[in-house]
Amino acid sequence: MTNNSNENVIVRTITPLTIRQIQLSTESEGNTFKIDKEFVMNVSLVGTVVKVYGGNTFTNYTIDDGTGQLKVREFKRHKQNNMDEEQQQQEEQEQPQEEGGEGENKSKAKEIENVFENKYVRIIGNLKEYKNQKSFSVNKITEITDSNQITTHFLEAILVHLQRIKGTLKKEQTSSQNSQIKEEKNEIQKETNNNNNNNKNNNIITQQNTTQILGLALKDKALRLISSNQTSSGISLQELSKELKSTEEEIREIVDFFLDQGQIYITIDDEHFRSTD
Amino acid sequence: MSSATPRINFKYLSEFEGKTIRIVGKVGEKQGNNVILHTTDNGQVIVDRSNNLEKNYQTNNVEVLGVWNNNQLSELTFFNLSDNFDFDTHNQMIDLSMKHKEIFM
Repeated sequence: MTNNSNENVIVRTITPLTIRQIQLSTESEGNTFKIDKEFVMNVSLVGTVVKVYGGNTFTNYTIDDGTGQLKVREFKRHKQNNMDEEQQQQEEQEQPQEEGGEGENKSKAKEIENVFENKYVRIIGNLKEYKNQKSFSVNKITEITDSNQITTHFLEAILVHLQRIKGTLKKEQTSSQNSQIKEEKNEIQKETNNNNNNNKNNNIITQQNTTQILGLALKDKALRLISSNQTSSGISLQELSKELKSTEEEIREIVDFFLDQGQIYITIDDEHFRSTD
Repeated sequence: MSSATPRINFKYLSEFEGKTIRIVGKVGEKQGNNVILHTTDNGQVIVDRSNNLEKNYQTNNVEVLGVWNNNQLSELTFFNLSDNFDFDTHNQMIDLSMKHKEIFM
């Protein structure tokens, strides 16, 4: 959720992006960037490592994801180092982020071995503005072992992009152009699901995928029953168990899931629920 | 201005004459310095590996990054892909990325 006070925008979601989107982003508030009119902070990228430069406290990677190139920085974490990340970043930002070399360049970074040569990596990091420049600090960089994650990442980037500029599928859409977009997004979601099903090591679990794993039919019916109940005290656990012909334990699991997701809430006691929709 | 190296398949090659692109395929027959790449949309591309001979493909599926010129792809580098790579989904992703070029190139 975003906090709309002046400078401190906090975004807790991870947005899958392409480097092109980062290059094109110009809007920012405080030091947080906006892409497709939404704040982004934590970003995931998938690409290849072109070059690696190592310094004392950081490693610079040049990443290429097919849409553009981006220099990202990973800070090395020292257990006994009392500097926090902000201070470290400030210190390093004083030095030019350009790669080290002979001669006039003061940077201490020099080119080191690319452990990710000929491989794809996934990067989770923070996109920030620092002294009018974009800076990307890496939280995690891992080698991709299941290459289907490459395809999934770009499908997700397209999906999120379309959702942010055109709206989600749930909203009422009337024109034929909108229904074409709906079809496209359905297609993308289907492909993302297909791809997720093919991935054994896929760490990204979209909400759809989680639903598949936990058994779609029963959960779907439960949510519909809860949503259709318009009374102020909502529907009870017992009623749900009776309607769905399931044990109260099974229903309890399902409602706990929806409570966590924020799709339902409890009313008069913890056995009565209403939908947040 | 854009330093994009777009991911494409066989049918889009004609749009990228002279450009640096990425293409995924199954490694096929070797013919001297050339290798045949079977693309995700069942096309065949001749890859000229002369500039990168010291490195060998380590998997059956690879993504080759190179310059497309005169019906040949001059390889600059390549990336190994896992054996379970889903060609069909990747192919559809390429089609979708062509429909939404604004975030890809």
